[in-house]
Order: sequence, then structure tokens, then C-alpha cells
Amino acid sequence: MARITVLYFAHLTERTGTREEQLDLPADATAGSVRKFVESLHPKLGGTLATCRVAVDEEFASDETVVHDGQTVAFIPPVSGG
Amino acid sequence: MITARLTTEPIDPNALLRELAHETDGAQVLFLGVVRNHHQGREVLRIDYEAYEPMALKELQKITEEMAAKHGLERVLVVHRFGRHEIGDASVAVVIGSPHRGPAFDAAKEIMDRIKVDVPIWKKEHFKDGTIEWVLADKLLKSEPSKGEPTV
Repeated sequence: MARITVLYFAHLTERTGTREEQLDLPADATAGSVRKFVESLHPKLGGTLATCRVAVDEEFASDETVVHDGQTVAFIPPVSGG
Repeated sequence: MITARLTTEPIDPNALLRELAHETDGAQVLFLGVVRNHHQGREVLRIDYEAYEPMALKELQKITEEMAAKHGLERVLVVHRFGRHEIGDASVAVVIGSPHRGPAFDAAKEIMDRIKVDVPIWKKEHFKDGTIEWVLADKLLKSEPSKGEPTV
């Protein structure tokens, strides 16, 4: 089992109703499996998660990246800084 | 000095230029991103910027260091502000000091181009017509806060 912290920003915070939550996932979880889990947990996201990049412990990652107990997964909507 | 900062305080470009001043430099390039009063033809009242703070700072630092190395620069300062902004407020400053202007202009543009792609910061535009919308790259999405959720 891996306990993962998941972070949401911008409209994701509004649609999930939270900025941060802890999820318990199988030990072989990947960023992609976190994405699938979050999509089923929050149907209000309605596919918007697919347009988001993923970061693990504050670094951009791919859906294949394995996530370990204690790590933080953040979904990064298309950015608009500057 | 090659450094990046993330702040909620107003950006003072003159202070940044003074901070970066160096007697070997013949050029100081300053880029300011400022809040405009319109977006896609609609009137804007103000903008809130949300940041994934630790990662935004890391990405800003990465970009600053990479661009300084690529263009052979020794003085590059990038400051991004987040939180509430009024019209005319600077949200980002890129300041570069260099013996000659060429690499400073090139690096300033490239730094801004990278910020627009890789730094986890989001604009929330407050329009005069009462709607509030997230800017997600080049798309707008209506802001619909859920009950009890703190606003940015």
C-alpha cells in the first residue's frame, strides 16, 4: 500500500472541492493510475484531468512514473503565468 | 547574480534594476508583464494569480539558470508575483544585465516563452460582466467555487 498526497489547482480545486487529499493506492501505483483513480473519485472533473500534466514531488513526470508511499502527486492544468 | 523569486508583494522594477547594476554592463534589459484591462474583447477588472508555490519557484529557477548558461549571462533576475493584481500591476519581471545588449534581449524573450509553458501559475480573470474565469493556456473556463472553499 502507498499513501499518496494529491494536490489540485485552479478549476480542479473547485471541482474536487479540495486543494489536497490523501489516497491509499496499491504499492505499484503510477502517476497514471492516480489519474484514473482521481477521475473515478471526482466525476465532476468530467474529463478535464486529461488536459493536465502531472508532477511527482514538484517535478514534471509522466503517467508511467511509479509513485511511492509518502510522495506527492500534483495535477497541473495548462498554465497561464507571465 | 542568477536568481528567481516568487512573491505576493508588488514588483518594483527600479529596485530590481538597481539591484542588478554592475560596472561591466553596457546593457540592462527589463521586461515587465502587466495586467491589462481586456481579454479576448471583454473588459477585465482584476486578476488573481494562483501558484503551486514550491514547484513554481523551482521551475523559475531552472529556467533562469538554463537561460543564463545558454546565453553566457552572469546577471539574470526573474520575479513572478502571485495573489491579487489590479489593472497595471506587474505580475512578472525579467531583468538582465550584460556587457552587450544582444544576449540580454534574446534571453529575456526565451525566459518569458518558457514561463508561459512550464511554470505552474494560473490566472483567474475577473470580468466586468461579473463572470470569473480561469485562463488555461489559451482557453477560458468558468470559475465555479464549491461551497466553503477558500477563494484565491
